[in-house]
Parts: sequence; structure tokens; C-alpha cells
Amino acid sequence: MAFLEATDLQLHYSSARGPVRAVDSVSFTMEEPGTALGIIGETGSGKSSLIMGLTRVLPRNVAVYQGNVVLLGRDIMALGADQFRRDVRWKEIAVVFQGAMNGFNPVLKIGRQLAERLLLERSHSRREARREIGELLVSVGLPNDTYDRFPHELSGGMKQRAAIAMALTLKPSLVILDEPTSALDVSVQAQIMNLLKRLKSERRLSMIFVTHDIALASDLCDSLAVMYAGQIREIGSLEQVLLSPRDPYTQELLASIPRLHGGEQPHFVTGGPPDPVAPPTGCRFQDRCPHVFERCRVEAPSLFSTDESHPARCWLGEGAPP
Amino acid sequence: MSELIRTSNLKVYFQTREGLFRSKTVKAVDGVNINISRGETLGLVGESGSGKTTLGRALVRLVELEDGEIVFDGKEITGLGRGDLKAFRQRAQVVFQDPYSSISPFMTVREIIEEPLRIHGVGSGEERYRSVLQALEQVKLSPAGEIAPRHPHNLSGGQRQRVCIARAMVLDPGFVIADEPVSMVDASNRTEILYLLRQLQQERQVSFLYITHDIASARHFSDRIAVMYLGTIVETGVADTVIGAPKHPYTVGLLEAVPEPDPENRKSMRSVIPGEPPNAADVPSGCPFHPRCPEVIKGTCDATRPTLQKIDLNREVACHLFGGKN
Repeated sequence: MAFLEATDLQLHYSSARGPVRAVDSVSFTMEEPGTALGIIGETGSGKSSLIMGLTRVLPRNVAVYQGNVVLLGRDIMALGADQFRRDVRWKEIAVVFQGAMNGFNPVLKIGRQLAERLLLERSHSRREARREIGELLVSVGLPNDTYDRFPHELSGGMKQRAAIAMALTLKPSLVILDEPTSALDVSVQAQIMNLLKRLKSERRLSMIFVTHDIALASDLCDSLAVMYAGQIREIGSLEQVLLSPRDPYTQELLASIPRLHGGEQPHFVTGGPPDPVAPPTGCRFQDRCPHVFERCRVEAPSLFSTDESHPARCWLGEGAPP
Repeated sequence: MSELIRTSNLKVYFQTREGLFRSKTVKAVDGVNINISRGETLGLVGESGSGKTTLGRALVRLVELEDGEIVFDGKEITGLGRGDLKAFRQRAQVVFQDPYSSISPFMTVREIIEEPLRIHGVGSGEERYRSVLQALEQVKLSPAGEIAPRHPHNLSGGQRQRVCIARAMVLDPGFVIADEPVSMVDASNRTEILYLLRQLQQERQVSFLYITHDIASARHFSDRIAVMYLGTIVETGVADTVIGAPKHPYTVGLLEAVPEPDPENRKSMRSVIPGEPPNAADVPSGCPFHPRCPEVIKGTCDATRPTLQKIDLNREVACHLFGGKN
């Protein structure tokens, strides 16, 4: 049994100009618990909508929301709203949203805010909750007295650690992290990445790490899915995607990163992603792709795989259908 | 290459209020000496709060100086009055970080790019429009005639930043400060804009100060790099050699913290600089980096502040390990 299996997940929004297909039939599998999947995508690629879809944090203008998400053998999409909140949210899947470190209530002590969930869900006594949260805060590398600190007394890196600790309070099996280091400096970013690595190996915690920075994802993730215009372009192990990318978009993305070492000059693709309301017929990357040919303009490629573990959405890689 | 701009012992201090009657001095820029030649790009690298943006603003006199001197094209500009300052600013322009807040949403692209020409009284209306179209073509926004009447909300982030670049370049300046010009632009468009800046520079021999926290992009798009920490420059040198063989412990730590796309990364912990950069209102004694430095020398580093010393032909380092003394 796979740890997490999403099949044909769709999340469309209604807009004045027509439906926006933010997540357009996304499927992926995380086989093993204790691994990290990186979701790579630029602004508007649908990566944040994918998180909303997985965790049912939905805005009001949802037009279509369907598909299957099977976590540890249970289809969590089939659960009612109440049951989802009771059984899944925070307990099975927790999210550290982008900017969560700035989402703490400024007038409550950090410890109180983390303990709230324990008091509500686990009927802990105050003393038990205090002890457990205190230990949790220390385990993410915060000083002993953090429980009684107010958010403004913590630095950015410390607040991010506290936000991660908050996601861990009910010991979920999956933590989703949305750009958890985007507001931090590089030296602090490296510390947070080390913390995530440690949590992954020590607690066998499974993670979905969402970012636009493929280099950063390589610091933590065991497999990568590259998203573009609401679809997954390519999915495979970290080695497969970084060392032998099959999809032209992934190839261009990797080539556009300025490297610290070696003689390679970064190069770039012109243009931007297609209009989400009216994507072109055929492949969504056609206007920017250096390898575009006739078929790409008329027929949309599906996720093809010659090697089952590494499918890509490109006619050039057409092999056995998935 | 001849020198275009030089600072000596430049200081910018701010006062912050602490309670009702007390105030504290924030030393955002504290004794900086840099120089940039004609047609050269200096990459100014540092984390947030290091003072890199303030230094950039100080160079075009957008903030009050506490002390020090700026010499531009052989002329001291620190004491310039209004009229002379305006003439100087015709030759020194800025591209700001955020292309969403640095252009007015109520003006058309044409008005935005034409404004500097109006302010400096360049050309007639018709000549100015021609310059606007030309500037748009140069930043690869074409067809220029179609873009010019649009409002910024019709443009993507990358296109907006091109408008900002066109606005900075339309006066044909000799010196441009680009303050994180691509940090708000999507990854796949960043490199294109950096190449565009480089091309404009080569065509017109402009000097650039490229301010960034992205040290890898500074390597590719700068001739020299200056690394800034808490208001001071800790290391400068030719871009490739600073990154290939960093000397200052802060530069070393910074470079180790930056991941490259490499599947081996996840198999080991990254060595990190402990702690976080302190507040510029509370700069440690001696070397500002000493509380986080793995190679700190007790009794020296916490007592005296090292100054930038030339350690070889093209490298200056402010560190006691390399003989930096007061």
C-alpha cells in the first residue's frame, strides 16, 4: 500500500472570464513514509492550489473539486467536512503555510498558541500540554524558555521553527511545507533545511515541500514533481529529474539557474506561462519550448513514461502510455 | 578602466525611538569604501539588514549621510545643492526591487518612461516620445507603439521590471543602481532580465551597482563582488575568485549555505553559520561578525574592528586572520 496516492485531482476556480483550471488532473504517489516529495513550480503553476486541494482549505469561488486522495489506505476526499476536520486536519496532514511564521497572534505567548490544539483535541491537562509543547519546542532547536515568549521576541528563524513545531503538535504522518524559507536569509534558510532533514530521518516524517527553487528542494527531497500551468510536467526521483530531466520545461528551468561553480552560463526561455482561463490547444509549454513541432500545437501530451518511475509530459518522450 | 564613483568612510546612521525619551542609533552603513570603474558592475552581496540597500540609496543621495565622502566622475557630490544634485541624478539612476510599487498604476507606460525626460527638460514632446519608444525597444518590449499607451496592470512582473529599466536608461545615465532587480520576478524570467542589463551595459558603457542576496547570480553578472555584513564591507575582489576561494569566514559560511541543484545535497547536513544576523542597532564590539564566527580569536576579534586590508592584487578582506588591524 502506498503512503499517499493522489489520482486525477482537479481544482478549478470560477472567474468572470470563465473557469481557471488551477489544478488540472494531477496524479502522484508517495510510496514510502518518511520521504519528501518536492513540488516545483513558478507563480501561477498551481502548486499552492494543489496544497489547498490536498488539505481542503478552499476559497469560495471553487467551481470543480474532485479526484481521489488516498492516505494510508483511506480516501480522504470521500470524507464529510466534519470528519475531515476531526480525523485528518492537523492529525494526519498538517500544513506550514507560506508566511506562517508571521501568523502568530502577537498578544499570546508562543507556547499557549501551540498548546491550544492539544487542549482541544487530546483533552490534556494544562500541565501535560505545557510539558509536551516545551519538549516539542526544544526538539526543533528552540531555547528552553520559548514557551513563555511572545512572537515579537523571536527572530525570523525562531518563529519559523515555532511554526514547524506547531504543525507537529498532533504528530501528523504528513507535513506540507509551502515555501517555508522564502522570508529568511540564506544562512538561516540552511539552518531550517537542516532541521527538516533531521525531522525527516529521526521521526520518519513524510513531507511535501512546495517551492519555486529547485536547488533548495534538492537539499531535502527524495523525489520531485515539476508543475507548469496546472499540470505535472515530470515526476521522478531527485536523481532522475536533476541529472536526466526528460521534459523541456524542466530542462530549461535547470539551465536558467546561475551556478556557483563550474563554467556553465545560465540561459533562459522568453515569454511566460499561458493564460490559465484559455490555455492553448495542445501542449501548454508550446510557445516557449525550443523543441516544439507540429503535433505539440494540436494534441495535448499526457504523462508518458518509457521508464515507469519517471514519466514526462512531452511528445518527444512518448513511449508506453502510463 | 577609469574610476567613476568612489566612497570613502561613508556612514549612514538612523535614529530609532526607544520608549518616550530615549533613542538609539542604527548604524546602517558604517565606514564603507567602495569604487566602481566605468563600464564595470560591482555586485553588492549581503543578507537582509546588512545595509546594502541603504548604501545604494546613499550613493545617489536619497538618504542623509552621517559622514564620509562620495566622489562621482572626479567631483565631490556630498555637499551638492539642489540644482547640482539634479544634474548629478540625470547621470545616476536606480532600478528598484519591487516593480509593483515603484511605478505608478495611474500612469501609462509612456508617461512613466517620459517622466525623467520631462523633469530634466530633455527634448520636445515629439522627441521625447521617440526616446520612449527607443527605450522600450531596448528592453525588448515590442511592439513599442502598442506597449506605450498601456497601464502597468496589463503587464506581467517581468514586463513591469523592464519598464523600470527603460525608465532608468532613458536618460542615458553613466551609473545605474539595480537593487534586487529580479527578486520579485519569476525564476524562468530572471536570467533574461539580467542578460538584458548586461547587454545595455556593454552597449553604453554604464557602471552598475548590482545589489542582491543571490550570490550565484552576482557571480555571473558582476565583474567584482563586495560582501557586506552589518554595515561594513567584509570582502571584495574579482567575482570568480571571491566565490572560488573565499577568505572571510562570513563569505565562506554564506557560500556553504547556498544549495546547488545536486542530488547529493540531501544525504548530509549543510554546515551553517550559527545564529542570526544581529540588529544593526546592536552591533557587537570589535568585528561585527565575531559572535557567529567559527574562527574567532578571543581577545582580538571582540576588541578591535578589523579594517579592509589588501591581501593580494585584487582582494581586500576585513578580518584579523588576514592581518586586518585598526
